Amino acid sequence: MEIMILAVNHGTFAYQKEKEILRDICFSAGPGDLIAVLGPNGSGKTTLLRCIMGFLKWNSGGSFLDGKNIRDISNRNLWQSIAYVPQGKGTGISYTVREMILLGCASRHGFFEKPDKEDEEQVGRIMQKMGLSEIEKQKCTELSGGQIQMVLIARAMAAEPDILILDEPESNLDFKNQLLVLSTLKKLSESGTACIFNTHFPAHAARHANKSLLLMNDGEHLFGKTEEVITEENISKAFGVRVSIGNVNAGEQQIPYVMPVEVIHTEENGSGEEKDFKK
Amino acid sequence: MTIPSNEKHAAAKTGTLPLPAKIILWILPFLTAFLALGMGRMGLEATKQVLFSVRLPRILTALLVGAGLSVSGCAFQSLFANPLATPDTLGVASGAGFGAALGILFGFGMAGVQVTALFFGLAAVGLTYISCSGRERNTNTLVLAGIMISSLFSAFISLVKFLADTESQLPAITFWLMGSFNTSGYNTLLLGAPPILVGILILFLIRWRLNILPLSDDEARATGTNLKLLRMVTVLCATMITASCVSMCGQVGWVGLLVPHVCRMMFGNNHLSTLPASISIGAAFMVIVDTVARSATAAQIPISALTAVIGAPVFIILIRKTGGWKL
Repeated sequence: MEIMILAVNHGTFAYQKEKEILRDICFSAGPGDLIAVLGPNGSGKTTLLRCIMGFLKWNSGGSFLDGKNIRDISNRNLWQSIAYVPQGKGTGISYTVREMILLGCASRHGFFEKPDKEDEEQVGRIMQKMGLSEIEKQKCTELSGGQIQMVLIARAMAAEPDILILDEPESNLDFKNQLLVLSTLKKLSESGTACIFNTHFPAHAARHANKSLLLMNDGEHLFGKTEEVITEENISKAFGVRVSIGNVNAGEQQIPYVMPVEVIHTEENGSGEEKDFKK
Repeated sequence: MTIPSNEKHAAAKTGTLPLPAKIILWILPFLTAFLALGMGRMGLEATKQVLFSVRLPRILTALLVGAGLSVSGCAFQSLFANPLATPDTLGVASGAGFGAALGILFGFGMAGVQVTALFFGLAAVGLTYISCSGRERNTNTLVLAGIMISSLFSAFISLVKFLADTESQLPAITFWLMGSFNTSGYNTLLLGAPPILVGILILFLIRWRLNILPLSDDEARATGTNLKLLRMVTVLCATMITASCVSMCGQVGWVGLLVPHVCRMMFGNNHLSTLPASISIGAAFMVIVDTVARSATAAQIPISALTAVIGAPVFIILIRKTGGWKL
């Protein structure tokens, strides 16, 4: 398999002209990478993902697949390299699990084509790998949040992508399902598919991701190795919350934690809201 | 966790109908058509004449219209991710109705009425499309615009009725709007059949892609599908089919809503199986309804009255059973 690298070079995006929500974003993802995108609400995490994939147009800069701007790549070729996993909630279409995952094969086929035998076999293999075989005939509307998320990941994997982009894959899930989804991502990245995911949980990034991208509310960002990005200082600055970061010993494992301590009150951040609240 | 047993999964292709169902669906329209051909009054001497120059084209038209309306309803439900969408959602039926009324008012012949109906049906959907093209178009604004344009053309129909001669034209318009296969012959089929057949064929060919339409925009695009093109083709085909149906036999309600619904309940939401099923069941249903309409009483019962009498109760049952909002 050829090595596919997704790079964002100097990406800048603004919904309104004056206010740049993403400024000069630079990062890249290659095989083996599991990249967490972190940032407070409104910092543009989802916007970033949408820009990377071309759903929104960068105002300047761009996303590149192996040096080629994704705007110049045909729809079909692009979506055989990249796959997108939306947030699990609100997927209320009552296709069966198998039908849903099979839709992931669509990027391999022309407008008038139907899924073929190979697709069916491949979907079968993916379901087996991800433990979905037993529910293949169930309707997606009847699944739990964790199951839906796994189905959506399976659908994305059906396209055999080099890069997987996930929008908050573990929000809305319980402990167990969060672990399941994150360890699935870890496995996928180890087997060569680069994964980029949004998350609200710095601890998840610290534990699983090898690289992290931290977005701030002022359009600035940090990108690098997770242990260098997720520090008490950086997280405090980005979220406006004093945090304590450390490790917990759990048997043989050392598991990082990121514990929020208190909201930092500064002139621009927090204090105003507090005053309003007191009134 | 390595169990590479492919054979187990290769067995059933997703969305393929089981063989017995397939056979039944293939036979059903032909069987009903054949039975319908034999139904009704038959004078001894004029039998052949009646069968082949009156009844056969009428049955063929009913087959086409039933299949057409069902398929376009099916496609629209997928397009709008809404099980309550009908072929008329974008205003095509009101537009075509207005065209026909106008044609009757100006005293055009049968072919003329058919052409004006077809034209205004397409024009109404064109208007709908244009009227919400200003901002980023989403399917909800499209539905809203459709409702507006539809009511606009309904108002125009009232105006035409108001102007029409009450002795001859008004009854003609009213009767036409109620829907009837009474006027169908080979000449109406000649103009009306090709758009329906082409539309059905295209929708049939892209039936797997129709599964992508109810997904959210980003998800749909991420399947590598040209979403704009897919939506356009779907709207165009469904509109062409519906306009042509209405131009041949007036407004026939309910079929486009009822038949796809029944098919979804029987075969699931996968259009690989639901769309072909809609074609077959829609065609058979329409022939049966028309046969009842022409042979139950001495006078011919208007089609849309019959479909509504059958459709409304069945639909209410369906809504109560399914909740009515899930696709």
